Amino acid sequence: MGHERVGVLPKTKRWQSIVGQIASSSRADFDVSALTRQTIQNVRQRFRNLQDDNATKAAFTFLVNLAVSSRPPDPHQLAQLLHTDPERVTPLQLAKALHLFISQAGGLPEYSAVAEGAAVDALALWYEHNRTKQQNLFDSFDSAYSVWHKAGNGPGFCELSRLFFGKMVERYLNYFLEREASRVTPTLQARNLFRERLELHLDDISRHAFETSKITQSYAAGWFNRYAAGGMPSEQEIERFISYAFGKLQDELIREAQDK
Amino acid sequence: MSDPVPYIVLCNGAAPGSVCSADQFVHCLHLDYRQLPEIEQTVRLALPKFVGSVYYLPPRILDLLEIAGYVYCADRSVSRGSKSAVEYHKWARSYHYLIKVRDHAFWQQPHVGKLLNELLTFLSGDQQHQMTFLSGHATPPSSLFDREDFTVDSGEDTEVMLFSGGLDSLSGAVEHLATTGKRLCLVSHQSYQPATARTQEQLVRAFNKRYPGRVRHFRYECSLRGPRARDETQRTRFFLYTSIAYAVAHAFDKRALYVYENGVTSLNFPKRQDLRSARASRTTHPKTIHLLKQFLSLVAEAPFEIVTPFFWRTKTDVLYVLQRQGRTDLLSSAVSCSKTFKTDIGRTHCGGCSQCVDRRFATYAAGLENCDIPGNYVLDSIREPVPPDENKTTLVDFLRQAQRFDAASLDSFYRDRMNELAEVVDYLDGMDEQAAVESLFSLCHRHGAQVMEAIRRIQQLHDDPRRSIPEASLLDIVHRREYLEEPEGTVTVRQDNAPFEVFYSYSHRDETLRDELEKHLSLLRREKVITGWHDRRIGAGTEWEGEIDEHLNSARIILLLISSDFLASDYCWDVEVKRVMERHEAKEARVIPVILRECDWHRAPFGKLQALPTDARPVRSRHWHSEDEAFTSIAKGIRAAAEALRQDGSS
Repeated sequence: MGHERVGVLPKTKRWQSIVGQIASSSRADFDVSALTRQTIQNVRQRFRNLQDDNATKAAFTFLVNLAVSSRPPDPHQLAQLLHTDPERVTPLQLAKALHLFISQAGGLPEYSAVAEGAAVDALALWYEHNRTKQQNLFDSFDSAYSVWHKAGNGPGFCELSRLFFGKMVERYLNYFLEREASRVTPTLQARNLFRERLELHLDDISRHAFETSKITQSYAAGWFNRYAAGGMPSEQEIERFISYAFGKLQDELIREAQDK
Repeated sequence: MSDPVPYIVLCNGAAPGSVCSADQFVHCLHLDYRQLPEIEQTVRLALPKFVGSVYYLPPRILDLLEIAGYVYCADRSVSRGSKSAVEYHKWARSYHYLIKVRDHAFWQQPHVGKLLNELLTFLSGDQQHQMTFLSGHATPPSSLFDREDFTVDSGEDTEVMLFSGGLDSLSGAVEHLATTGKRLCLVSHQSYQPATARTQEQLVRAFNKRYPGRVRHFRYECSLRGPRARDETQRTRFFLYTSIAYAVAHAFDKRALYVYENGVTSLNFPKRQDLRSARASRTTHPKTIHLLKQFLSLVAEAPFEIVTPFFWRTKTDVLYVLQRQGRTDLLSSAVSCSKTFKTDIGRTHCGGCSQCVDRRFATYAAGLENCDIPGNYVLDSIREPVPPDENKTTLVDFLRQAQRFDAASLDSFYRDRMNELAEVVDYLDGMDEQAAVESLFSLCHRHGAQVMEAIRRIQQLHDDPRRSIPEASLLDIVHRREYLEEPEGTVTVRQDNAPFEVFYSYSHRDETLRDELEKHLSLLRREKVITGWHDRRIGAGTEWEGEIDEHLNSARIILLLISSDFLASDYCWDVEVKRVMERHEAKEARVIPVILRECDWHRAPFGKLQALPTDARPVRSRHWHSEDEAFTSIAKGIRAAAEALRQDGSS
C-alpha cells in the first residue's frame, strides 16, 4: 500500500546530458530554454506520436465542445452535452466528464494520462482566472455558467487552447524531467526553484505562441469563429488545429533556445 | 502504436479451444497449483490448508480464491518494462484469462467479468484483465470436515480485518481490541517472505497475550513458482488479500470486512508526472474499495461492506491511536517497508522506500521517534547522508508534496489536484462534492502540517548549530546552512553548552539492553546535554571501522556496556577498550563502565573506574526491582558526569 515505482531516464549520452543540466539548475547561468529544447529534440518523433494520439484529440475535442456549447446565454446546451442536470455541473463534474470522454477514445495509456491532466489543468486554471470573487468553487452550474460562457468566443477559446497546449508540453516534459530532478538537485529549495523556472518558462512560451505572436491568436480566434460557428468543427479541422498549435509551440521552444 | 497483444493465461488446465485465435498465442502462461502427475505446478496455493482452517467453503468462494491467486501470479510473471525506458508503454499490459471454475453459472455472467475487469485495470493500471470462464473444474474435499454442515464458531461479536503487520493494521487491531470487546479474525496473505510472516506472528502473539482468546490469525499461502518478471510489481495483491478476507468473513457469516489504512496513503496522489497509471499504487483508493464492494456484493448476492475506519486519518494520527492505547511498545515490531528484500540481518526496514519515509516522519511528528529504533533501518535517512539514487527521489518528493499540502489553501488544492479529485469524490459514501473536497483538503493539509512539524522536531533534536551538517543528509536537503561555512583563518571555539557526544561500546548480543538505555537517556538528548552514537548508526556503504574510530576519538563520554559477551568480543577488547583507556588516561574523555550482566570484570583495565548503576550492581540482577530502576540510576549517573565535564570545561 502506498507503493511508488521510481523511474529514471535512459543511461544514454543524450539523456544523461539532460540529467547534468538539471543538476546545475540552481546556478545563475542555468539555461532552462536549452534544457527544454534538448528534451523535446530527444523525443522528437514521440512528441509527434503524442500529438497524433486519440487521447490528445479527445481532450482537445472536449474543450472545443465546451467552448461551442458555452456560447448560448443559458447553460442547457452544455448540460445536455455532458448528459447532466445543469444544477449539478461544477468544475469537478466537468473534469469527470472529461475523464470519461478520454477513456472512451482508445488512446495509449501513457498519452491519455498526459492529455487528461493537461485538459483538467486548463479547466481548473480557466475557472480560477475567470470566476468572480462572489463565485465559490462549488457553485451550481447555473450561477457559475458565466465563467464558461466566456470561453464561447474567439479570444476566450484562444486562451483556453493556450492553457491546454502549454500544459500538455509542461506535463510531457515533466514526464521525463521529474524522474531525475529530485535526485540530482542538491536541496529542497533548489528542487522547488527548478520547478518554478520550468513552469514560468513554459507559460512564457505558450503565451508567446498564442498571444504575443498575433498570428496564432488570430488563427485561433479565426478558426473558432469560422469552424465552430454552426456547431462542432469536423475531426479534420480539429486535427489541423492541434498540429498547428503544437508546431507553433515547438518552434517557439527551439527558437527561444537558439536566440540565447 | 497498436494495442498490445494480450497475454493468454490458462488456469486450472483450461485449453484455449475455440475461445482464442491463433495470433493470440504470442504470449501464453500456464498457471496451475494442482498436484497432479501430468501437470507442472507453477503456482503454490495452499487452498486445502486454508479451507481446513474454516472447515468448508462453497464452490464459488473456492473459485474466487483460485482466480485471485492466478491474477496475482500472472501479475508477477509479466514484466512491466524497464524503469529507464523513455516512455512506459509496457507498463499497461493486457491479459486474457481462461479459467476453469466450479460455479460456472455464476462466473460466466457478462457483468461479473466486466466488473472484475474494471476493478483489476484500475488497481493495476493495466489495459485489460479479460476473463473467460470454463466449466468442468473440481477438487476433492480438503478434510473430513469439508462439508456444508460443518461451520466455524458463530460470527457474533467477531470482525474480520486485513492484517499485513504494518503500522496501520497494527493500530487498527489495537484500537479494535481495546475499544470494542469483540473478537478479531486477522487475515494475511503469505508469499515466500519468512520475515513478514514472523512479524505478523509476533504481533498476533502480543495481541493474544493482552487479549487472550480474542484473536485468530488466518493465513493463505500463495506464491508464484515459475520465473518472475524482472521489473515486476504486485499491484493486484490487494485483490487476493480481500478475497481471502471475504472467504473468512463468509465462514463467520459476516457481511463486512475491515481495512485499516490511512487516507493519505490510500489516496496516494502522484508526486511526479511519471507516477500516473497506478505507478503510484491505488491499493486502497476509494474507487478500488467501491469497485471491490460492488464485486464482493455480486459474489455474495447480498450487500457486502468494506469498512475503512482510518481513511480520514494521517499516518501520524494512526500513531496517536497506538499512543492513546498505551501500545507504543509494539511500534518497532510492525514492519511498514515495501522493500524488505533490501534489508539485512537485524534490520527490518530499508529506510528509503516511500513507506519507510512516511513512517519515519510520522514517528517524529507524533513525538514517538524513540519507540522506533533507528537501528531497524538500513538507511537512516534522518541523520545520514542520503545517497543520490531512488531513495533521494522518494525522500525529496515526499517532502515537496507535504510542503505543498501544508502551504495550500482550499482553492489552490482544488486547482492543483482537480485531476485526482475527479477520481475520488464520487466514492466517498454519503458526502456531497463540497463536503468531500473540503474533507480531503483538511486531511492532506493536516498531513503536510504534521510533516513540517516533524522537520522542526528533527532540527530541534539533531541539528547542532555549531556543527556542520553532513552533506546530503535530510537537514542539508531541507535547510543547507551555507552561512556556516567558515572563512579561512578563523578559529572554531567550542561553545560551553554544546551537547557531549556519548559513544556506546557494546556487544551486539546486548543490543536490546543498549536500546533500553538509549530510551532512558532520551531526556538528556532532548535537553541537548548529550548526543548518542553507536555502530548501528553507520550508514549503508560507509566504511564502518573508520566511522567507529572517528566517533571513538570525538566522544566526550564513553559507555562500556559490560557483560560476558562484551568481555568475549575481540573487537571490543582489542580495539575499543584499548583506545578508550588511552583517551581516559589523557583525560580526553570520561569512560564509564555500565554493568549489564554479572561477569568477572573487576580485573579488566577499566576495573578501577567508577561504574554504573549504583554500586556497580548489574542491570540484570536481583538487586533491582526492575530494569527500569537500574537504567534510571545509570541515566542519573550520566547526567552527573556530563555536569562535571561542563564544570571542568568552564573552570
